[in-house]
Amino acid sequence: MEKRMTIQNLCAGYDGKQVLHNISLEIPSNKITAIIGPSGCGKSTLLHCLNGMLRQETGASVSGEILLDGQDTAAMQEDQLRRQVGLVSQTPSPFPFSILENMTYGPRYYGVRNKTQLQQIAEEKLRLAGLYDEVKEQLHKSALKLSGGQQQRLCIARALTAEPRVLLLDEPCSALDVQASAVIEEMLTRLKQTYTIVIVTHNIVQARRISDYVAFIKDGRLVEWGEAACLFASPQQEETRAFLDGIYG
Amino acid sequence: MQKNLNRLFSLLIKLLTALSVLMLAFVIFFIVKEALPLFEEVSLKEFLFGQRWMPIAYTGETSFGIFNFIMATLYVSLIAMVISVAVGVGTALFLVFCTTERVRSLFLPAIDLLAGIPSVIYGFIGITVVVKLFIRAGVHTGSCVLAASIVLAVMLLPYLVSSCSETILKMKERYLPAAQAMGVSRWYAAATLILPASWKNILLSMILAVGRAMGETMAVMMVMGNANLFPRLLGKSETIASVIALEMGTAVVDSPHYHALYAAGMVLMVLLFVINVSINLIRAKLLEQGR
Repeated sequence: MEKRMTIQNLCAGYDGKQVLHNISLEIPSNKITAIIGPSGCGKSTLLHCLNGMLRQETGASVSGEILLDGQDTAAMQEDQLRRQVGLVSQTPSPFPFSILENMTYGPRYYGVRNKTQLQQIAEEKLRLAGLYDEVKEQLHKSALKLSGGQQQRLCIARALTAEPRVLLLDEPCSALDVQASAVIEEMLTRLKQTYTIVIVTHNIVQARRISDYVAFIKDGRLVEWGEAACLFASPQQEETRAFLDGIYG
Repeated sequence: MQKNLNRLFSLLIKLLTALSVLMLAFVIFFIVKEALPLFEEVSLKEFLFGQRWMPIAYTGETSFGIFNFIMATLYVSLIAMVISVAVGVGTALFLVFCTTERVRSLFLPAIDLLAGIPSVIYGFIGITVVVKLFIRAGVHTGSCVLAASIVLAVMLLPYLVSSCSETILKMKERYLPAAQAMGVSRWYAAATLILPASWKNILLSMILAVGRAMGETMAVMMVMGNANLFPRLLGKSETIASVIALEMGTAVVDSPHYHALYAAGMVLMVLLFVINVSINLIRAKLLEQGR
């Protein structure tokens, strides 16, 4: 198993209140790692640690080590880290521009000026997100006119324009219906050939469907993690078993 | 009993609503009625485009042309709006991006307080500070269109700052995390994403400010010099509101002068109406494009 990210003894908290306790975890490359756990357990906080977002929040404290391909992320420049580790949030947030402008916003910031090149990037990433065929006739239409599921796929495609090594997804399907979720799940399994994916979800069924590795977090502690097939079939910890059986969550 | 009370209450509400609509209708009716007799003596074209304003026949001939006043009103409002929008949006950006919630909650009410200062005080400060600065800078009497615009711009700030910072804050919360997650810097996102997203709502708050700018009388009158001249940035001029305020007291009732002042008021009203409607149209068009 090749590791993309390594988390060692990570502790994090806001305003003196500790949220994550001593988490050590490995994120294998080109796999989907699902982080599951009851709501409020610190799943999203963990994601925000991974792309360095928590570090800059006022009142937040982070200790421990997070390595990206062996490199300490704390030593990396913030914007560089963010480009390597993309994040898509829970609610889709397309920019109030056209679809094309959404897709070229990042590349233009990174310095791509050539129009055909921009167009190529947009097309390539939209294809990856499985959105291109649906919107190719209307690239100049406002992104706000897309449906919820399309908006979320656009946001994922937009995150890909930064050419990240890791893609973090914070409950990307929580605002979507079953069908739109299924499209996104199918797309994620395709994307893992190119990217390493970490998905936070409270939907166990979804985690079971798409993940290769699973980490179960409860009350800010990592209860157990491992290959999805093993963990779902025979959880080692009593707490995991209880969660999977739906006792709490 | 309860039913009757409800009916009575709803009747009362309807009556009050009707009253306010009636009041508006009455104002319009009254102004138009008092303005119309003028056009028996002067043609509309002469009135709107004439540059000579001689309401009393000292030299044997009266003439009523308010072109300069119209242009002065538009000019001073436009420049004040430009200054005020630039400063107001800048202030809002600063408050949203560089300060904490606590500082904002301290500053915004303070800026809102600007709206509570009587305009004669603004005029007074305009004379003692702004006009003096212009004299020192070499403008003859100090009173000029630019001085009035600056004073007016400060008066408009409260109308712009609070609504602008509200909009910008909302857009920042909605879009900044997504932009930052792509490694885009805060200020780049502010300039290319958050400001464009806020622009439509900023336009809306400009409507409020335009109305205030064009109708403002006292402060502008005190620093603008009040001479019937075509407005130039550093020259004296006179707005429609100033003419009415200065001359209404001395105009003989039912004289052409009296009717001319009402007609000038009517023109001001129409101007404001046209500007408000066109800003609204622009905004509606922008919103449509954004969809």
